[in-house]
Amino acid sequence: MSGGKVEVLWSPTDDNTFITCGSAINLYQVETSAAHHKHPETTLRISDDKYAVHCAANSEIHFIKCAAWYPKAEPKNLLAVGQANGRVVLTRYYQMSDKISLPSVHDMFVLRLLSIAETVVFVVKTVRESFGDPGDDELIGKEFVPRHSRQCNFLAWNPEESHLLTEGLEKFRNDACIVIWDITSSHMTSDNSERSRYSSSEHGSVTRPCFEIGPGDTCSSFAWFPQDARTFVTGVNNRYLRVYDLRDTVKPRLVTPHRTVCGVCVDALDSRRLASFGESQVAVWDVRSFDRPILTFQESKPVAKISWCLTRPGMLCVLCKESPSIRLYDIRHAVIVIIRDSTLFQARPGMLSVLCKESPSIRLYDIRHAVIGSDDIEPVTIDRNVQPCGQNPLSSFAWHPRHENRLLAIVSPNQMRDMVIFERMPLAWSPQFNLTWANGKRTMNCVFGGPFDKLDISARMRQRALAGYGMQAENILHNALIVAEEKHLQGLWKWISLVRQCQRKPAPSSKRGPVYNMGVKQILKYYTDQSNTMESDQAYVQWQPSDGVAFSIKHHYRSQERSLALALCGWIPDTNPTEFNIYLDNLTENGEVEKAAAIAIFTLKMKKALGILSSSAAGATNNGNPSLNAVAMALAGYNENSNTLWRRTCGTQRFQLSNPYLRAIFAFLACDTEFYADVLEETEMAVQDRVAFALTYLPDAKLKDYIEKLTDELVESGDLDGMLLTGLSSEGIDLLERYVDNTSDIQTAAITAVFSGTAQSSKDDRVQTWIYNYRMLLDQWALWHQRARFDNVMQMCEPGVQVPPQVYISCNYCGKSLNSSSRGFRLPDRMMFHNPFARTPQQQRHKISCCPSCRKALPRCSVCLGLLGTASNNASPGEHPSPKAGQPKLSPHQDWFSWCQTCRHGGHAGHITEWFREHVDCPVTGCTCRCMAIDSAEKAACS
Amino acid sequence: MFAAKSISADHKDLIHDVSYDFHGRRMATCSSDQTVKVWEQGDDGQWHCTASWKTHSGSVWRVTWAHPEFGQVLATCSFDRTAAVWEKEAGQNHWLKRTSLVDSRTSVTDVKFAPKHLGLQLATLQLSLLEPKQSAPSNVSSGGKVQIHEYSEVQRKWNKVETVVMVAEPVHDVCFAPNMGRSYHLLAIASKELSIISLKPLRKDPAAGGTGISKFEMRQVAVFDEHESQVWRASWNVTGTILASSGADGFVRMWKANYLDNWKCISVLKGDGSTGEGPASIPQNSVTSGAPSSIPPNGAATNGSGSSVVSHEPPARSMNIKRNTGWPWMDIKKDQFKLFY
Repeated sequence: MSGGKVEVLWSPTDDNTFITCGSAINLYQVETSAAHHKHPETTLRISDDKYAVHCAANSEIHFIKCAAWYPKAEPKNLLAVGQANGRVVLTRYYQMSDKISLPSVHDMFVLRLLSIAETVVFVVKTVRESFGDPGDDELIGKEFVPRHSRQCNFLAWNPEESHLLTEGLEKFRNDACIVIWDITSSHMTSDNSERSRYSSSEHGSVTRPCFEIGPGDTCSSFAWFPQDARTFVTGVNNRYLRVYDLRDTVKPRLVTPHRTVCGVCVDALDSRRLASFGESQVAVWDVRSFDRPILTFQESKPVAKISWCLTRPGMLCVLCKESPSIRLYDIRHAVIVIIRDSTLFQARPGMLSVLCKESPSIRLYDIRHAVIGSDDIEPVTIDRNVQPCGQNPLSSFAWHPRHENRLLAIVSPNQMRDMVIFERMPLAWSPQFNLTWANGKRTMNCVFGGPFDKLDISARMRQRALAGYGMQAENILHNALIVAEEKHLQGLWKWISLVRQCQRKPAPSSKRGPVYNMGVKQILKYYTDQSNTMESDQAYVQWQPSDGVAFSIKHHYRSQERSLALALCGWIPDTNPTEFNIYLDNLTENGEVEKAAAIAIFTLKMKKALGILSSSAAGATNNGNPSLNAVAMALAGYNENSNTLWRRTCGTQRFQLSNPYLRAIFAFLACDTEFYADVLEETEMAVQDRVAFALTYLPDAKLKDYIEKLTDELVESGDLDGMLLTGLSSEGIDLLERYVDNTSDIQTAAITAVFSGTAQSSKDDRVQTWIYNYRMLLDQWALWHQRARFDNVMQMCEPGVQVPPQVYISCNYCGKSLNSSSRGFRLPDRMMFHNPFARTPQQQRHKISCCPSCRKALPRCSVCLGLLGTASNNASPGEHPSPKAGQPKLSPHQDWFSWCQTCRHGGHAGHITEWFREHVDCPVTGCTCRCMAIDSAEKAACS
Repeated sequence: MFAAKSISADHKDLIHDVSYDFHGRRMATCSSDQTVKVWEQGDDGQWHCTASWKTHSGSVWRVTWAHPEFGQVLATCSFDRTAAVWEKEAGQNHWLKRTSLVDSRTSVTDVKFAPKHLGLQLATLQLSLLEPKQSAPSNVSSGGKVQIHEYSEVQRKWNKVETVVMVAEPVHDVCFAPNMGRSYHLLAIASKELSIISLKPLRKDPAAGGTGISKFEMRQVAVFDEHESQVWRASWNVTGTILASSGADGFVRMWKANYLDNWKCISVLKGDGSTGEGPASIPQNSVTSGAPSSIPPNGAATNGSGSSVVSHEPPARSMNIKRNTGWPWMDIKKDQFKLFY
């Protein structure tokens, strides 16, 4: 092609073969493996994982104007090459044997370039094989020569009658501009059998075309209609678009004057749709209303090539001259609107691609969504602008004939790019952590593997719910066990369980039943009482001497509130030595040796502390940490004199210790002031222990300052340990909100609110939102049982609030509720709750077979025909394991009333379940209701 | 880490939307082949197509599920200028068209059900065309900006409360994260970049009462240009903690914030399902956009508290579907133009 233009053509039959056609024709094979690096000179990387292997080339070909690839599979790889003088020659290369891998093939192949007059045929031939099938080879080297030599503009094979080859020519006097050759026609030479492939062109040339169309015209573009093989559209004389039928080549079937006569192409997937361009204007046509284009749009530069996408209907691809990008337009929806009201909308857009001349880009337009007025066409919006090769102006591009949205763009034979245009991928998350996205016409589903629960709170919340997190109203610490791996939740659960413990004991402050939302600040009355006049007694506490050495007396502060708050912190006061010792022993056994030692020191029991440390240093409980021995030794050397070396060493060396409690011990002992700032600011120490220490050692004013400051810090950081201080006050809700903001863990927030017993009575919107959202989340995951248990816990934690019953059973006759215990009729109650002292529950179960108020019989079960409310006869005791004594249970589910919401027939739940295990229809004779089919939830459960 | 499994959707043309129902057990896809397919997950975890029917006479842009409280209800919108509501016939796999909203004069590009607490309301989005009289003033398509509207109970209308000024490029998708009781809303905007905006409602003055327009403190939490070009779609997971986005580079990426609110990419998946190591390594590859796309962003509305349900446009037509009992109220005067059956 002139001007260094390079055309690129995919093989119509072979997925991985293409040619480039410039001053020479090059054959490439696309390979995905990178094994061809040993031939770097012949391998070209065209995408991330694809390489074009150069298989054959010819640089001796001159004056090539265009090439066309034979559209059918057999004979394979036949090419028609058009030349500047109008001659057309058929060439072919041989398909390489599939058995041989490509590099070796490359070595084995010899490239034979055959010059036949001006035309050049290139043939790839294996060494072993002969030159090929003689039947196919008849075509090789065949030449078609128009009457007068002039430039060939294009070549086009007929897609159906593939022996027809069209050649478009420049104007020459009165000659036809469109010449259609029949490649099988035998009138080319007088003697076919004598013809040799290697003979001169005179023998192989055909001069008599099959059809000649358009005398005296010049033809610039041509396209067959793929669905109607005898018709074609052509742009002639730079003025007209004409549609011809081969059955009448004299007169065009349709003709319309328009400037856009170049590059006419038919949408392979909808042959009524055409596109053409002229200069910088692109027009889209519908053959059904051919007098004017359904859509025109202006490019900023002259257009070099347009092409319909071969796999997606209505996608037109436009490349402008000197442009680095290809534009894609989606034309499809144009047609729909035009059919409906062509007057109102001139066009509706779709997707189309534009390649401007000498431009590095192909633009992809989505015209579908363009806003187009009645007559004036607003600027069409570009859907895509594909710029495959940087800023280098593209020469041409080609859609892959079969692979979806695969595009090969070429700048020069040395620079090509194979790419896939990605469609918009809609995507959606499912609540079950699946991410699904659609890719073209397929749906991809992404199922998560891997440790997703570690990754995101959503999965972790679901797992916790499945493990029963927040559903253990009695055994509080079980909840903490479920989240044992999450350290930040441990403090919270400790607080919840300690609040429970404190409230279980008769507390003097709570006269209105248990209050579960207490924090230290509530106990110290910081919220209620602004002018806090808490007066604590100063107590002077002696060191318990370890070996007779008497240290100075320390101040402890005590009050009722303080000891309550200390209990909330989990500290057992040393007023009761046995309890205290058990407490410390428990801590030691649980591995919290340092904490036990620290508490012993804080309560001025040096000997106890030393004992704890040395015993666990030797024992296996702490993995025999020998450094504790050293700590014990250091402690033993404690000297109260403020200027001793011990103290100074302590002050500096304690930061080397890794355990915060050990640091706190030394900070406490080395502390000069009365206010123990070093201990209180030991931030790695648990909040409860710091608070407990402050409660013991700080005077009232200092204590308040410290607690306020600590609260602010914890609220600010959303640290759930701060719940100990705030309780579920409004400050505590702020803290929870902060925590939710940081972690999105509404599960814990909702459960905290529930366990604090203020879930339903709280006026704060935030609490209600958390609970609402958490329940909705459980709904969304279809964790119905968990949701019900959560609701139960909510009910149990807040005894003041009554949930009204949601289902009533009323008598058909008198309309009274069957469960009403009116007029002393107590049977329903007994039916509901088994007497725990009864020897056998079966005996005690009362039968009610009639309405308690009007004494009319209850309806009958449609399966066993017994009266409802009656214990079914054939139900053996084994089937109904009686609830354990002391656990009041509802009557077994099997005996419940159940009915179809549509036909109102029903019976004992057990019988009904049994019936519908095998049937779909209603058990009542004559009822046509397909109860089971209606109940989609049941169906889903059964299927 | 994440393995993608391919399902053959068997649509004859491009799939435009995928939507899960409330429980994630059903999935609906819509396509340019004018059909909607409903998929159900079997016990084996496989998805089976249980219904496929022609819904419109044009490309179906979006499909969305109503809350299951209202039954099995789907809404679709299409290029054929209608939006339709479908309900599954009890006990069968037929989906019946319950209503068709025909008063758009252009392609209806998006449809969304309101959050459950607002009842069965539907918001539709259409292209503002020749007569901008029925769509919102100066719509999103013009400047590609994102506007946030809030429904006022007192005035019974939608007020524009904020304009997101951080995003100037054409917007392809917006998506609110499920709020979950956080004190702020997260809004993902798919434009040339993917941006995440945090909207923190400033506490209302108690004196102003419920009439005041709520103010938001807007903060751009993160901007990502890893998609290298247009970002088409964005979607939040169930807790609003992981954001997934798809872009013109053919990759699906997942984003997540750490404890310090730093958003990071946690996974890159290739659009065709294979696990991608990353985007194209050949530096020449770039896909750029030209003129502004005319797909206006679609309004999304999610909010737990109900105080600030947000959409890009006041719903052109709200709809109440009235059934026997228990359905949202009808106000004769206000709702007389609404469709019902």
